Amino acid sequence: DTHDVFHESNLNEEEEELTAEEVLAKLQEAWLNEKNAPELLNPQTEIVECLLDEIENMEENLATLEKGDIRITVHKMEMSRIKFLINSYLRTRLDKIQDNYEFYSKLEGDQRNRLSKEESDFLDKYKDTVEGLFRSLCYRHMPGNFDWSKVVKKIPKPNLQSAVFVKVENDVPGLEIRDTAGDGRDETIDLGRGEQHLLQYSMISHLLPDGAVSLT
Amino acid sequence: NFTHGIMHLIQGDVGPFKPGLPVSVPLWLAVNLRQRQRCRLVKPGWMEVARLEEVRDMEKEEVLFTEMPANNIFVVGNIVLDCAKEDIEKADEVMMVLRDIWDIRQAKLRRSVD
Repeated sequence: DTHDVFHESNLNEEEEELTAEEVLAKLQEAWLNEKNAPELLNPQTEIVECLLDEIENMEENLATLEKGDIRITVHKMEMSRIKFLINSYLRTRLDKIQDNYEFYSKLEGDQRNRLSKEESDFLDKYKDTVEGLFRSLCYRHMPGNFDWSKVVKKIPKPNLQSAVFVKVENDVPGLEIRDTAGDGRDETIDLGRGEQHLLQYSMISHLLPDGAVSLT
Repeated sequence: NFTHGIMHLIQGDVGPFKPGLPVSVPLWLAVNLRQRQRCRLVKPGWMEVARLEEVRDMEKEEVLFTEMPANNIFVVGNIVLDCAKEDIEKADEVMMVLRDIWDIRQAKLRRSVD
């Protein structure tokens, strides 16, 4: 009689209200949103940690099975897939941080929550490294005495006006679309569940955290 | 064509597997089992030539996009036809009609940009 060692890892733990299946679905949604959004979104650290735990449990369980059990390949495949999702999610975020490191390092207080602790450390190190490189590579050799405090730099920011494809999860009545070209073409539209639209990111970014819409 | 009990994957349970009986599994698992010749694929409900031809004709008539019988129809269609052609009857016709629908929709996109 087989004692199914895998069943335990799917039981709900006291602290979490979601099943592993639901957490995985949430990660997929977070990953898609992060890939399609021009700016850094809120980090879903609990989801990532929860899934990493699940994977660890699964690996321990697998070690107790004999080789050649068909379940091993199947579970390994699934773990590979989940690891890929986590990897891709974290890398997409790091790319965004690197592309706009000056902008993100100037964030204050609440907004700093957009980076996890590790991402924050990464950002600081990255900034130091890059600026050190610029300094040793060219600043030293520039003629005259450059006073950096007098330089007002225009810092590159993520383009919040990029177009994104939006899938509506819950009805959103009365969404205001402002005409950023200043031609007075403002509109108010209703978003119905299940619809897909192509919109400017800045107009819908507030709807993302609650999951009223998702980016595809 | 093999036997196994229920597998508790992180993303949900699959199984039990009994030879000859159809079982619902995630697409990636189905493709893998098929490639290892452990199963046959049962075609999705919408993958009938007649049904797809209806969809294609409707798409031709409508100016806007029509609704597809399933999300990711092109992706799923291509994957299934790629790995399990022998399991699908009239696979070549299905492929042709799917491509037609795809082309019609692409053309609409291009025209709408002008």
